[in-house]
Amino acid sequence: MLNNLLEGFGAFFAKTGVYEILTKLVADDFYGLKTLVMLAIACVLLYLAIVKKFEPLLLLPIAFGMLIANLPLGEVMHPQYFIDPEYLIDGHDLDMNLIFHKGGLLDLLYLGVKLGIYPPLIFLGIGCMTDFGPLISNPKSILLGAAAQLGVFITFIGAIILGVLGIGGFGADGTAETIFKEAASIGIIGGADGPTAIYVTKTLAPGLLSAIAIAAYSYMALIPIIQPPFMKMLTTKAERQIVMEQLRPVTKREKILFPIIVTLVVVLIVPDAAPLVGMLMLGNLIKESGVADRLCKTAQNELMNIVTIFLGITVGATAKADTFLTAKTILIIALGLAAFCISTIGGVLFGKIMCKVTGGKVNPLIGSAGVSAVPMAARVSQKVGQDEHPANFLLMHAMGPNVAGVIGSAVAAGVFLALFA
Amino acid sequence: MTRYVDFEPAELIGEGIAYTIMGICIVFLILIIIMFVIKAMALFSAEKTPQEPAPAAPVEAAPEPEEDSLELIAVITAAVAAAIGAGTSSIQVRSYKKLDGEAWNKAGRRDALDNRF
Repeated sequence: MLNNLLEGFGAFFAKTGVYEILTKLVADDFYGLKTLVMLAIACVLLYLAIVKKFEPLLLLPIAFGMLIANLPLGEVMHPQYFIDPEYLIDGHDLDMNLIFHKGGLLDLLYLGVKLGIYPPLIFLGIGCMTDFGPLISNPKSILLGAAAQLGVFITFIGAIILGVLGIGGFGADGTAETIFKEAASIGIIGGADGPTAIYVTKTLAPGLLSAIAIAAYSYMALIPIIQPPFMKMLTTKAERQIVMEQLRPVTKREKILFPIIVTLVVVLIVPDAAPLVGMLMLGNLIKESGVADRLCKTAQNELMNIVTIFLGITVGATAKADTFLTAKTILIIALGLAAFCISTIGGVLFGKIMCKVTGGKVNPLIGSAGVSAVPMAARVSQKVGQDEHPANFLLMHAMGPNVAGVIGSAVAAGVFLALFA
Repeated sequence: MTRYVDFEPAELIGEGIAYTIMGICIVFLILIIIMFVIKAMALFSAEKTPQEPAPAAPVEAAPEPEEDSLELIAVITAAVAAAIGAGTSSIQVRSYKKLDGEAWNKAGRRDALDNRF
């Protein structure tokens, strides 16, 4: 009786994850140890999300996805179905049959990322929440949203150079195509826009998805720490104290025409940006038209929240030890930070140029808001400005470049997709 | 690891720089076009503005001054009482004067901003 019981427990124990980790601690290329490291990283990210409140809406599901996907034998996610040529039809097409029949819960949800469904839906919700009024009122500020994409392209070339030098394992198969694709995916972190980064990466370099998403969202949360030193270093006290003229009121007609016109201009020139820019502008048109209030509420609340959960948990679940615990990930984290810093510098320097050209009417601090993290980057401009001059309210002036940054990074994404997809 | 399968390092970097410049130019180009379109749109709607009904004239029917100041005095008394923690019976407002409200406006605006973002 007792023997049977022990045997039963023994057999059960042999099927547990604990047994799997312990028996394979160093076997299978350090499977057990790597698993433990991944679980530890997931817990650190959970800590950052819950205690430090780093973009918790995304980082929390990402971290939990990472935790659940790395527990042995759970089989909720098989990233290899999406990236390993062995599982792809002819080495590049998804084997839907395999995914539908053998895939776990997260494999099925991940299709929304892989097929490019979630990021545009999030953009729909963002469009419903965005007021382009400050931009329409001060059209010049849209240029700051372009200047702050500098980090995207400088980091892109930086990653190419690393790839050519063979540092960090970029373009491991040694082809120019892979190097370009991976460099573009890393550069787009500098757009400071999570959905855009995910949209580009899932197409160009799906193996890097989790590292890039985690880098993008972590740095977005760190914007209040990353940006102010550069903003102060590059501007003089007098420039930071510039009080800008009040924005003119914008008519409803302009607000309604804006999304339609932007869609026409952007999609005619960069058709690859259509899913992102199109949905962003659809959301904005729903909001500004004022005739579809119910749709607006759903897009910015329920739909966006549902998609955020699916996106977060599946992106986190792609972080498996063999693709995540590499020198590449560390380098992506470093390059991502560089991209954010260069974008900030690009925005502030262009702000200084605009300040000179307009004869001191533009406070260069609003330039840093050209990175698209809305509304954090604009708040940082407001805060740094107010520290210098307590009666200065830069927030609405900074919202112009801020929302322009969203358009700018979506266009940059479209350019990369047009070139390399 | 195989490297340099199908390219020369210098060529690849040159190509990368070309893409970089092209990318920056396209982003600027598109946003500049949008800028001009917004400006054109502003002209277009500026023409139309006069046709829109002028904002209704301030409708405040001049309130009964006596009534108003009594109510105001009551409010001030209650606020002072609450702030210093005394009963309203021990406070008597003898006179009040409206100051330039800039300080309160600023505090209010800052408060609203902090709450919203």
